[in-house]
Order: sequence, then C-alpha cells, then structure tokens
Amino acid sequence: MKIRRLRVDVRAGKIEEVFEEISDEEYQKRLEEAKKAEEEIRIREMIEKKKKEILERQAIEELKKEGKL
Amino acid sequence: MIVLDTSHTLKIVLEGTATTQLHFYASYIDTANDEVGSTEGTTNDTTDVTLVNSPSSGKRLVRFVSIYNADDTSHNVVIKIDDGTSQKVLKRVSLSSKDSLFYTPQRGWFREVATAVAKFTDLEDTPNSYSGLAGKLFKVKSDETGLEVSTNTDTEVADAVSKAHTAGSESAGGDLSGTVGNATVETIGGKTKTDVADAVDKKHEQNKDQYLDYGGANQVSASQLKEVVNLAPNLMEKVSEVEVSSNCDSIDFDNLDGDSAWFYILFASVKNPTGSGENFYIYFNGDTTNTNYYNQYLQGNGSNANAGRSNDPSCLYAAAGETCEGEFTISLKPDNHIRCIFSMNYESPSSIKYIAKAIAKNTTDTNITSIRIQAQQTNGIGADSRFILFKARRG
Repeated sequence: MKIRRLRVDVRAGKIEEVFEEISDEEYQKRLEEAKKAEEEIRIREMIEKKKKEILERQAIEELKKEGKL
Repeated sequence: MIVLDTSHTLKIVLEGTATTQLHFYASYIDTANDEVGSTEGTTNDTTDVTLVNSPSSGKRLVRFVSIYNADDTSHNVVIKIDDGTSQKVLKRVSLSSKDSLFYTPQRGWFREVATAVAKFTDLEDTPNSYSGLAGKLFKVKSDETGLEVSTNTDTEVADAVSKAHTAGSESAGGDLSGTVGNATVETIGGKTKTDVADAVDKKHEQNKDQYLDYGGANQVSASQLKEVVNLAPNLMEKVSEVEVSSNCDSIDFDNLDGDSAWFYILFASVKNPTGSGENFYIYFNGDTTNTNYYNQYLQGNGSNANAGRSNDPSCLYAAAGETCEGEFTISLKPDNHIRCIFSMNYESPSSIKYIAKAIAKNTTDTNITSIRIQAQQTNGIGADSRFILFKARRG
C-alpha cells in the first residue's frame, strides 16, 4: 500500500510529496485501530447519553419523593 | 583706372626669391602732353621695383599692365602705390608658373592661367589638399566666399538620413541602434506616452510626504505607511500554508524553530475522505510514539457534555466523509514539555459538535523543529484540506 505524505520545508518555502510503501499488515493494523477508536467514541457517546438519562430519571424520582414535583 | 601724379609711383615686389625673375610691362598716357609711354622690366625678389614711374607734371593714366611668371614655381606678387613716404597695396596675387596677371581700366586686374586647372585643389577658393578628408563632403562657407569641408562623412550623413522619421509612414517598432518608428515613440514598454507622463507626475520625491493613489479615494501617506512598517514586527508571521491537492497520509511542517517563535498557531480544516470515522494525531519533532503524549478533552454534543483523558496525541476527528476544523496553540517553554491547546468542531452542520482539548508531550525537548498532522487511516487527509501555520513572534 502506497501512502503519500506532504513535507513542508518552512525555511525553504517548499512543499514536496514523499511516497512511502507500507505493508498490508501495517495497513490493516491502522485500519483496525481506526475502527476501534471510532467504536470507542460511539460507545463513549452512548454511555454518556445513557448516564444522562439515568441521572435525569433519578433526579425526577428524588424530586417526587421530596414532593417538589 | 590707376592714376599717378608727380608724387606717386606704381611698384612691384615678390614675397620670396625667384630663380627666374618675373617679367612685367606697362603702358600709360600723360595728361600734360597726351604722350604715350611704356615701361618693362623684371622683378627683384623681395626688393621693390618701379613698375610705372610718376610723371614729371600732370597726371599719368595707366592703361595696361602685364606681369608674367617666368619661373618654374608659383610666387606671391604684390602691386602697390608708393607716395615716397608710405605704400598702399593695390593687389596681392599668387601666380603659378607661366601664369600672367593683367590690368586694364575696363576689367581691372585679372589673371590668365597658362594651363587649364586640372585639380580642384588648385582653385583659390577650395581646400588645397585632400589629406585627412576621406569621405568628407564640401559645403559653401558661411561668408559665401568658397568651399570648405563638412564635419561629417557621407556615410554618417546617409546613416542619419536612413534613420530619419517620416511622418505618418512608420508603424514598425525599433530601437536606437536601428530605425526609430512611431510605434516606439508612441509606446515605451507597452505604456503610452500618456501613461509615462502620468507616472512621472506621481513619482516619489524624497523628504516629501508623497501619497500612494495621490488625491484618490485610497490615498495613503508615507507616514501612514511608516506606521504599518513599525507595526509589522508585532504581528504574527505566516510560516506556511498548504492546500492538499489529493488525499494524503500526513502533513509535516519541518525546519521550524520554536525557540525563536515561542508559540505556533495552526489552523486546520480537514476533510475525511474515508468511509469511516477518522482520528488525526499531532506529533512533534518526529516522535510518533503515541504513549509519549497525553490528551485531556471536554466535549459538547447537544445537551450532553463529557470529558476524558487518554495516552495518545489524538487531536482532530471527522466522521466518514465529513469535515472538521481546529485551531491549535503550541509552545515548549519554560518546562520543555511541548504543550498544545486546541478547540475544534466536527460532524455535519445539523449535528455539529465541539471539543476543547489539551495535549502534552510526556518527554522533554529542547526545541520545536517539526509538527506533523497524521491521519489514523492511510491517506485519511482528503483533497482540499487546508492548513495555515503562523508563528507568534518574529525572531
């Protein structure tokens, strides 16, 4: 798998393309890491959402017990 | 007519010596007795010789004089009137060998040449030599008494004529070494003479408060310009900008000098061209070991907010096919840990999310020499993504 990097030499004011070959294993590894990271983000967001729902529900029950609702 | 009285004689003398003296003859009539007489003789080099003596009484009317150069070279001959105490020159003439000088009351003095003049240089009113006159022209003297040599050669004159401007007939351009046509005269470097005159009117004059766009709506004074120049050292300086032309894996800003810049500010707008969510990492000084970095984030997603810390330099995130935008501030000193704080937004406009994040490098560095934005997936930085890097301080 060939990847393309852009190298910016700020002193010379030049931008050059650098091509690198990575192995299929490395490509798959990076792909899986990306999927894993994306899954972690998705799970984290689901957890945060659920936590908020639970907290809201508990808060409502407490307020009812206190007779404020 | 030459008239001699009892105190005047007519004399002849040469201005030089002659090998063979010049011959002369004269005839006259005396008024006292109406008798005709004549004299004849030869010159005597530079000694005066009487050509016609004075009469004993009355007047002597000179009717004819002839002087013949019998020598083989030319001589200057002087004819003069002598009153016994002073002399008056009547005629001075150069006589070539075998030439004659005559006088008659009807024609005055005139010369007869022995042979026709074969050379221009033999004439009396022309230059007597061609030496040094190659290519020169002759012209009438300003006093209109003869010919003299012109200043320029005929080649020079012809060259000048060939370069002469002909009104209305020239359209081709030219230069000083060739033909100067009206195209050249009317335009200089593509600018009309009006443009040139306008530019001259607006030229800068030192020590005057000359304006840019003088008198116009965009007028800027030199003092205003000076203020901008003075302000420049206090402005951030753009280090580099990159617009990605085709998908790539990373952007590396190399040859940086964090010691000089103190702070770098990086703006990034990145498109994720892949079919799944894309994390982007930021690495410094070529250190791509994720565990050498920590990040702490605070995320806003609708009414939900969450926070977290992880042991990697993840910074930007973009959903599949979406764009994210972030702004980074990066520094090193004083504790030699590269620190970065940035904020970003991502997702589609209707699902826009916000993240504020801090990143710190766990190991120490002595300078910031490079910054890399790396896509987690291969070629995960999409075409048309844009980056601009500034440094906060001009070193």
